[in-house]
Amino acid sequence: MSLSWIDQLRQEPRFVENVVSWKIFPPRKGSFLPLPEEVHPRLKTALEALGITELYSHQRRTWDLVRERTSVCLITPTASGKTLSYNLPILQKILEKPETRALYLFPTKALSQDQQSVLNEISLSGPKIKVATYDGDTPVSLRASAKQTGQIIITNPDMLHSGILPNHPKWITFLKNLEFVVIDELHSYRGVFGSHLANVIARLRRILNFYGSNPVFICCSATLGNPGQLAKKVTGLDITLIDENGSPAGEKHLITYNPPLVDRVQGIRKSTVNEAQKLGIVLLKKGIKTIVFARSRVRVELIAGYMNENLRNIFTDNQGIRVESYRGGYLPNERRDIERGLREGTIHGVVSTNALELGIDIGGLDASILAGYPGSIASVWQQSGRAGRSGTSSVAILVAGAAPLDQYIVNHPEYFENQAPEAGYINPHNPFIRTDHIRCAAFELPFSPNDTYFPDAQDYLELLTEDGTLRFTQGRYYWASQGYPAEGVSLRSAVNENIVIIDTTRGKNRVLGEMDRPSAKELIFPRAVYLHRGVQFAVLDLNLEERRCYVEESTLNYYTDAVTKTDLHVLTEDSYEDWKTCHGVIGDVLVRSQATKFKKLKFHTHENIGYGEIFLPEEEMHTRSAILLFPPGTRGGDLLAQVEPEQVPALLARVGYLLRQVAPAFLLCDPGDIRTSERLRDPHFDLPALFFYDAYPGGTGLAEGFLENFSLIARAALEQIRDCHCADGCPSCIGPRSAELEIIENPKPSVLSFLRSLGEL
Amino acid sequence: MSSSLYNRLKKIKDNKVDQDRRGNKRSKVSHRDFFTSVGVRQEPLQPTNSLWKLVRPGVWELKTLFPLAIDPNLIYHGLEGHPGNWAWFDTETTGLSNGAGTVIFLFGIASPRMGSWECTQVFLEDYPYEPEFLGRIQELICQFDGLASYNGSTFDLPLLRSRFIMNGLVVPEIHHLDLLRPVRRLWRDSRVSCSLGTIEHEILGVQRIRDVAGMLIPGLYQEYLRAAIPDPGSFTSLSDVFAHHLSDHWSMIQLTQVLGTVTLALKQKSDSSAFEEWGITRLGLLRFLVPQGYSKNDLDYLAGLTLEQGSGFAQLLPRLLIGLGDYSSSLPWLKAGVGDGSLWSLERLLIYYEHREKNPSKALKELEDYWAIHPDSRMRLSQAQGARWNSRHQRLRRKSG
Repeated sequence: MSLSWIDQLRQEPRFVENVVSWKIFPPRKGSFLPLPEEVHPRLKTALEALGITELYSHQRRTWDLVRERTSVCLITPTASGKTLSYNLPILQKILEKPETRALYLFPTKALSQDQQSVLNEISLSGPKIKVATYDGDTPVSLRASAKQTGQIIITNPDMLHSGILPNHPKWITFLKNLEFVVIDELHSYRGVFGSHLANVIARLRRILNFYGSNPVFICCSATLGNPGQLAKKVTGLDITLIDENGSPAGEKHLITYNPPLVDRVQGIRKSTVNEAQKLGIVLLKKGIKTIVFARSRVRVELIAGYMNENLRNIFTDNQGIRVESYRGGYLPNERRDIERGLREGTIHGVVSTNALELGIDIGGLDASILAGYPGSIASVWQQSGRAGRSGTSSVAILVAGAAPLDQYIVNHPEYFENQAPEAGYINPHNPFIRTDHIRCAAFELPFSPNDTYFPDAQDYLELLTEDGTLRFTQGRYYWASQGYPAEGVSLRSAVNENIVIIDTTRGKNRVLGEMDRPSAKELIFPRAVYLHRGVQFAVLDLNLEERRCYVEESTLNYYTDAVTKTDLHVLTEDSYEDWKTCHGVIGDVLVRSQATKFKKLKFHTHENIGYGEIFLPEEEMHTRSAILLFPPGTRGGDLLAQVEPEQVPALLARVGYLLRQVAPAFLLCDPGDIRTSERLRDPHFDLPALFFYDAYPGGTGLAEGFLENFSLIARAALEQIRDCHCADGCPSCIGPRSAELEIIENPKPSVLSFLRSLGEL
Repeated sequence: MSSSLYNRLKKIKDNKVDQDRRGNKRSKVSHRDFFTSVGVRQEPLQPTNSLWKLVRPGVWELKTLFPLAIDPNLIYHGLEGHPGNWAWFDTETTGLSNGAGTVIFLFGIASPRMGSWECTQVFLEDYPYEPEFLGRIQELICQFDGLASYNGSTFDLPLLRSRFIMNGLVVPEIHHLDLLRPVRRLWRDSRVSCSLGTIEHEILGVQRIRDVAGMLIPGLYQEYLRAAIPDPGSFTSLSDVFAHHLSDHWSMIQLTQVLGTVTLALKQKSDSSAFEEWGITRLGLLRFLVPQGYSKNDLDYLAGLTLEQGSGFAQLLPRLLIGLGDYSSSLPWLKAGVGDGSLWSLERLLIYYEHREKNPSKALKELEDYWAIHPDSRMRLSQAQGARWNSRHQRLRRKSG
């Protein structure tokens, strides 16, 4: 494709007048190396069938290192052939020595399925390799054969933790011959989830040592601030980083676009949804294969629906353009169909949540439209990376939303160009997580003092012995309880429980899709409008006990949006610090969120045309929180007393935002593991309060860590805001300013002086 | 951070104390009480010896004679007949899951001995002696050609294999017969569960008195280890467990006799009274017979018994008859099935009329009569089923002119 369509875009005044920045990244030449001579002839045939006759330099480097049995971490952009990088040396080894086994870990089931089909494809055209997916969905009848004969087992960390490791003697054939462990999508293992994975890997290596295996680890990651460090922490091994990208890329245009103002006085802009779909249609009509990323499931359905409506024309068969929506919750075969359609070119446009951001192979596209800032720098690069094939130019357009964060990004394009992608922090030594995994490890094999894989185990072992979980006798610690410890340890904060959505239109009884339980309460409550691949359904009943939701096709002119309220109740006060600046409390809190009503929003105009009530039980989470209190007499309290009362929540919220940005570096977690909430006057303490609580039910020690390191965190926050070059707040410090929500001119000085008062305890 | 960690651990501990306290509510039964605590039909003998012997470091053994005289012809050996020297085994474990942290601490093996039965129990004094314990088990197992168990194929045997692997020992080859399988075939349709407890109570008529519940046993062993009161050779705190374990063997052996008796009665084509005692239905007998192989004669014999039929018999029997090529004998059963509203029977009957008798009008009439009598049964069909029935209907109408 020539440059012409981009030039055309440049000349469209209605487009260009809203463009804030237009940056061009020059094309990059690929760096190719020949296929290694030793590649097995059957593998060579399979590669030729896929049109592969040479390798990118990073693929060849991976081959060379893995063949020398060096563990590696590969970090290259989307669609740079990462999958082939690790599949090649592994398949080669299996062909050379069929008893070889490999373990592939993916964070989600969808990615596992995708990997299985990639390997099946290779297997079809050449080497016959036994590949088995082993997860919660694997039927019992296939499990035994997977254990015995599966040469490549594809699974997820949760299954490894609760299914494979505690039953390792049943996996003896597999574990004894395990030569490769692949950890793909490494960047998803940040924070608490990553800390858990590091412990699961330590348990795996401990068991492998028992069986005398010492596999090579291959980690792959998308954009990440510190891939080498994260890989090292997760695997506990010295890992060689491969970060020179040998894949070619065409010229790339990164455009930030701010929807036009419709009300200059109030500063209201056209909606992101409508602008994104219009841009999508403009591109599709030019024959440009386009992906649109939207931030929520509902938005995905709306954008795809509007696009299809605009294209609808029976005489031209919709102008020969096919647009599909894509998100989690569709049936696996629906998703496979869409992926195949994109690869084969029968689908020209797709609207997706971040589900298509990574991993899944959908071939090359020419344009990517980001309907709203996706929330992280890494995601901007991933999503814009979906567009672009070698030799052709591609465009990524970031369409800003109305939120202050979006407005900040679009008006400061240099912010994400200069900002390094987010780093992933983990803390495998978090005592809460460590205790859980040492219990699991003791179940798997008795502990001797000075364990290589848990060198810090001694204190925990003694505690667990004292408590009767373990028994210390003749120099070893034995599991001495009845339970199955892995069952009680969840690696993720969200419970993996899905509601099945059933279409009952005209007596049908057909499964339409599925949805996780907390989202179900907000999206498929009774009388909600549920959108599924362009078809509209009305929810008749949501049965949470049976995990079923019954829907029926409908033709309403609105969609629904639940209004959720979150409440926080203090349950216990376990420790109390009275510092001069503020008071710090650690305690249990109950976080309740409940969707109580819903808005009916008219299609296209998105105007509110009415409300309805939702009667569903609330979602509860019992967790740990650090609470900062500002009573009179403390420096913080006195300072707050001088601020206008209506400004206090905003001030506390900004402080909370800042602390949440800074704390992960000290607590070695991910910002997603922590939540904050502020109160002008908390009903329990009757004081202004700032809550800093753990997003994992039961808590993972982050609240405790926060108070322990509070002076350090507060000082770092102070430095962050002091050294930030922005004028009145930005995403890196106190959050972008929202002109509509605040009356005061510049919130920065007040936050700065407040933090100064907190900085010294 | 350490203080809250301690609190959290303490919570786990408190839970355990609760569990233990619940466990302690039972009244104590000493090992000696074993033969009075099981209500068995035969007159029990006193145990020959109730003192444990140390056979290897940390491994203890106790032999008990069962006063059971069983005709060798009535011992059930599964399908393969009598392969020789057999034994019956059972285990008690430190947990109820079979993950890597669950350890076998008590292994029992029983076999006929001089007109009576002898059960050898092997006990693990503490975890570190597991290799010696397993070594002794291996020695015992090797003396027999085959081993029978109750539910051993899903629980005891995989666990035994895991223990050998985890202790770096060679896994012994075991020729195994799981009694649960024939028991399920016989009683699955007429009992709520086929657990050894239910079968023992309802089939063997045994009422255990003051028996320790199986689920409490792991806790009792942990308690014994924690108490660490050295009483080698008597282990009084675990006597309930040992008694329970012996009772399980006792029941298992008796069950073997019942299965053997049923097998023999089937072979001899005894009348219904031979089975009434065990509460077996004709369906149970039929299922029991299937894996052994059967003739037309056997099926006729079963059809003629006056035992309760068991739901599903009217479908399984004609299916087997058709399998043997005996269409005409299956006819009355199919007709009876259609009378009961069975769509499966209807379909077979239509196939018979249409393709065997070559009489499509008869099939059509049968089908239309059925729809008339059971109008709602069509509503319950899935889309695919509905389409299949419709096309059959169309075809029959076409063929009938």
